[in-house]
Amino acid sequence: MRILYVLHQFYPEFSAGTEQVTLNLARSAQRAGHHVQVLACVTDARNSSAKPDPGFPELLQTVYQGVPITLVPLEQLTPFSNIGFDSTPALIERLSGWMTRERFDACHVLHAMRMSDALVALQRCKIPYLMTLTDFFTPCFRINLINRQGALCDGPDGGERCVQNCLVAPWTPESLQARYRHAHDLLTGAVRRICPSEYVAERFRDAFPDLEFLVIPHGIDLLALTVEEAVPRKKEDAFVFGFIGSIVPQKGVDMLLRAFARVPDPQVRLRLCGGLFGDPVHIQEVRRLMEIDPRVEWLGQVPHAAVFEMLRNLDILCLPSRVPESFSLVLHEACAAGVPALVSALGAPGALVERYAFGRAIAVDDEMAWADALRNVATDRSMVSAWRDHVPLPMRVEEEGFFYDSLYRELRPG
Amino acid sequence: MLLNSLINDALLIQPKRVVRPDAWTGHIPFLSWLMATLKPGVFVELGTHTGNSYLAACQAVMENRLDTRCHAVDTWQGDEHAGQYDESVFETLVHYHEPLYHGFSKLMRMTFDEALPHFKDHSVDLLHIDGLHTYEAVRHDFETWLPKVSERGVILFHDTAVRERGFGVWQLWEELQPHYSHITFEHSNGLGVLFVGQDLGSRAAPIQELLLEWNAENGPALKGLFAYLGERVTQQHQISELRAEVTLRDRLLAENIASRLEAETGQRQAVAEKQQIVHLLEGAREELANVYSSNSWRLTRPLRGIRRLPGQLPVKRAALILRNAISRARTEIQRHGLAGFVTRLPYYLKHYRTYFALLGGGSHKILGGMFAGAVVSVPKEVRFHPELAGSTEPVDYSVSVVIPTLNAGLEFNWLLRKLKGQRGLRELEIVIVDSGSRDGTVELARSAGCTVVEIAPQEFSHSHARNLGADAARGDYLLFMVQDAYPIGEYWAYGMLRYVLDHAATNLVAASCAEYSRSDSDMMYDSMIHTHYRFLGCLDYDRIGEYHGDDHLLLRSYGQLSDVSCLIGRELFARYRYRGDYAEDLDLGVRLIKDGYRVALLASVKTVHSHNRPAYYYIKRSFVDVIFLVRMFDDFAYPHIEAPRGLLAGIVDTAAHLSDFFARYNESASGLSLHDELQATIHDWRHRFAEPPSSEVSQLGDTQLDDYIHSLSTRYLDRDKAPLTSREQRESGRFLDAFLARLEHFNGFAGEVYGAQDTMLRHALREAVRKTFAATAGAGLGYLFMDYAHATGPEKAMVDTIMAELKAGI
Repeated sequence: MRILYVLHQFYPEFSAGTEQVTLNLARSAQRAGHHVQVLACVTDARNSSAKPDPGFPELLQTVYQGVPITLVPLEQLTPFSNIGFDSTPALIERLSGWMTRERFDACHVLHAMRMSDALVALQRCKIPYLMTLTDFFTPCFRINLINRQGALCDGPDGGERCVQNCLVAPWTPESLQARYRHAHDLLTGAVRRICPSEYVAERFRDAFPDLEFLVIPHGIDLLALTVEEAVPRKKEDAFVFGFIGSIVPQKGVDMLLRAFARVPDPQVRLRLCGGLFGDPVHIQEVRRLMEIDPRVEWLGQVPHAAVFEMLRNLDILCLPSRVPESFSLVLHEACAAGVPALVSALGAPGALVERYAFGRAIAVDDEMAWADALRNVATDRSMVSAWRDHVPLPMRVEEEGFFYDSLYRELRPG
Repeated sequence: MLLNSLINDALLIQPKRVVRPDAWTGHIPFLSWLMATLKPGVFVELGTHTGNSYLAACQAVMENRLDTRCHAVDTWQGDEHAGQYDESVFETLVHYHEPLYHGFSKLMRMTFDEALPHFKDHSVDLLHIDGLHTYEAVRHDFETWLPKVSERGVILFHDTAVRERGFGVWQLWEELQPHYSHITFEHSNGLGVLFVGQDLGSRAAPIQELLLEWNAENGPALKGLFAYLGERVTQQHQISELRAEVTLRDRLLAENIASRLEAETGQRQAVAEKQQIVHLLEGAREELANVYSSNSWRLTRPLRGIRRLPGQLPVKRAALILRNAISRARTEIQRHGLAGFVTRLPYYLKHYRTYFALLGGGSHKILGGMFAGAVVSVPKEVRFHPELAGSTEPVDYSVSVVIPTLNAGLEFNWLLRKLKGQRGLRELEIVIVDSGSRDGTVELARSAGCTVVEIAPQEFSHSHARNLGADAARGDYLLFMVQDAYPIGEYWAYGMLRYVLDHAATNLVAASCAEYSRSDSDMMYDSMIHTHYRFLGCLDYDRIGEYHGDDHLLLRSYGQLSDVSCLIGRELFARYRYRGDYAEDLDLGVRLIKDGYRVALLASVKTVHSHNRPAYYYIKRSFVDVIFLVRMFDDFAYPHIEAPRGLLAGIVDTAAHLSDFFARYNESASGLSLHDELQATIHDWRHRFAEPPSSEVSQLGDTQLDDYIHSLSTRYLDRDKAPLTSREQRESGRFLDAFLARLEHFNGFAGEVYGAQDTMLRHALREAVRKTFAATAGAGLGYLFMDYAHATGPEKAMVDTIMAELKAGI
């Protein structure tokens, strides 16, 4: 089959979770004998090494790890493509021509942001598609289901709740309601709608009650990681908590640092791994909190290949997110390494930890509760040992690839 | 001594947030010091208003890592002294407070009396009374809350120095002083500190010393110190407020100038507008780079950029930007406060493209019902893995998984964990048959609760080991697999069994899964397995095989089972068992279908398995495969080798040509697609490789393969003794043709799958060519063995030697 993968951004410009998932799936499909291409947006076309497509010079081409990529420069999209489903007829025309030339049999949409034109073009070319809902962009223009008041949203309610809680410029009540209708139509048009966790599926079932959603977790590339599991450390060793991920306000690292500071045990450590991004006030605060506690170690950003090694040297992974995560790759990698976790009682990580009892789900952003949990874990290592026995085995990328390959068969022409 | 106790970090607090009215700010250093010294378990503030004192207390809790629970009690509606105020005071406080202090602090929106039941008696260590300031009100607050204060408690009264507008705190303060230890500050409207706790022993030493010194010789100096520190905080706040005001005025000035320029500019053409926006954004980007290269211009320069912006835009767009910008700014200020907003200005400007685009956006350009016309293709009737199909109703059967092992390696642990997590069966037993592992495989299996059968290494054969495992198994069904395979999903074994059960009525007795490549498989393996399953008819759909005659292709196609995963009833297996030393799985399947049973190869359930072997492995593997097929199937036709030296010359010369090619091979990206480049290369080689190479040296990059080809050349070719005859040359040419034919076959797969090349693909292509050559050589040597195994003389000795060398370890 000739399969097109569509998402909002891709390698080499971006390398976050959805990009990794897409690359895994595309390469799995290649190994299974499919021709694949990725269509994404490039935000900084001027500094991209991609070359113009000879037939469609407004589109750029490149190859990443053997996967051909076509990129739409951001300048060609409407300003609203980051938040809504706006489109431009000229780009739809261009992409329709490109898709016709490439003779795709099926499309796998992994993120609809910035890709409205491509999705309309798919329909014009009568290319069947399935959608993986890697986050909440489809029902929520704020993406994370946290409304303007900072509270977890109960769902769009046909767009009414968006108007009620999140009406900010440039939205109008009409455009917010229209956004919901378009999201519904887009999902209805998909042959299958897949969520990476039961948590996400439940949110989508709430948001779109007439539609069915299937759950296929994202896979972990175990073979790319060292497969040795973590070795429980000796009693006299320092007890190491760790966080891995981007350090942005939504991840709650500042709260974790403050909670950690409340555990005055010289035998515990907190190891942070990830870059500081976004809000400068938050960055300043996190830096300050890190500097005043000598037990805190900040490793900055590390290559993905080094993450597993870092996980193996942790006693507990901490994920204190303030927003509901749809799926946490690092939590599943921690599972692969046999490392228990303390997570926010929110989103897919909270649900996973509670389901398998390999750690604790703690009240979101509750500094005292987190401090209590850190203290308890550090002083009762038998609890950690018991949690280790419950750490579930994550799905491998090959398993995820096979499940999707099975679904692609539904889309096979003829 | 006293100074040593007093001077600490807490005293030098830098309050993060101070807003007007700032009457309290002068006491923040003392409050911070008191918090750090007293270490209250519970702090309650009655009357919080904008939160200057309360947030300072929270900040002190955090910075001094105190285990203090803080509570702010207020209706946030104002009173006759504070004046009535709107919801924005509370909302602004909440926006600032919640993200930072939510973990240990609570804003309690109620009256002071309503809050009383929320606190146990003697539970509050520090109480701050700053509500309505009439004498009656503050006395009421004191009397009703005093029982809540602990034995080491302290109460703060603000505004003890204010004697106007009906303030009566001073009066109460005068009445209380004779009854309690206390200190009084005169600055910042006055602060009375009443030490009401009777447990003097629990008082921290610095507090004791402060009380002793306050009315003694050092008293005035201490008062002066706290007043000075307080004044410093107040002044810092006022300076920062002035800065913010300057910034705001600068912005408003810029907007004013902009709007005047807009009026002069008038409406412009749409095309020109677009060009100007692009130009403007490019300019802004350059400016941003400059901003970040110069600290002193960091704040001011982007603002100048904004000042110029509207003048270059049409009026409507500029007005829209302005309107949306103000709306956005209001939102951000509500969220972060004015100071927070100002601090973040560089951050907003860094993301100016996103912001400007949104701020300048008019109505949405959404096509009406844009996605409503999606064509949903009708799903095909395909059988799915149980987890996709949602059909996981348990079955009342047990399954024994039988795995021969030898140094199963690190991944074996994953396999055991995965197997133990299988669901939908009554029981799943794991039986391993180990033939001498030294890497802890046996210990791992035992610790995982497996049944372990150990045999000596020399006792191992594929059939024997599996038969022993079957003998030790207890399950209703046996599921043979290999140590480097991996089940897909938690219902993998169930899915296989379910298929057999569903088709049991049609005499189906065994099933194997197709393989799904590992993430580290190589391009040639992927191509081979793709071809193999296409031949077997199970590339996309489940396929049931039955007997259709003795033609070897039919038997291989319909009788194929695979040891990678093969499920069969235990009792039935006991009647057949595995036999032979190679391809025992195919042999079992063929025997079953010849006896009238049916076997299945599944695409709906697959097993993760593939190899990424070195090229040398392929020469051995292909050699053994050929011999097995020729021996097993009487009608298996193979190309006969007419001239052994010619075959060897073909292998050696092709290796030499390839070595020369690899030496010049550039792995950086190519302008051609992988398929087109390989096609052109094959065409080139068809002519060029037919000529003698410049040397006979094999340097293919696989040492074992190179050594073996070199040894074939030196032992059996010996061109110096006699040049090749024309017959031998033709044989050599046939080898080249066979190699190129295999490459073309591979290129058929590559053409379907791969497109433009990058370094990774070009590296994979080099590997594929090397392995294809090795496989061709192995097959050729296999044909040679079959043709000369029964001959006499030196050729017989040669093929026997080759047989011994290439069969070893396979």
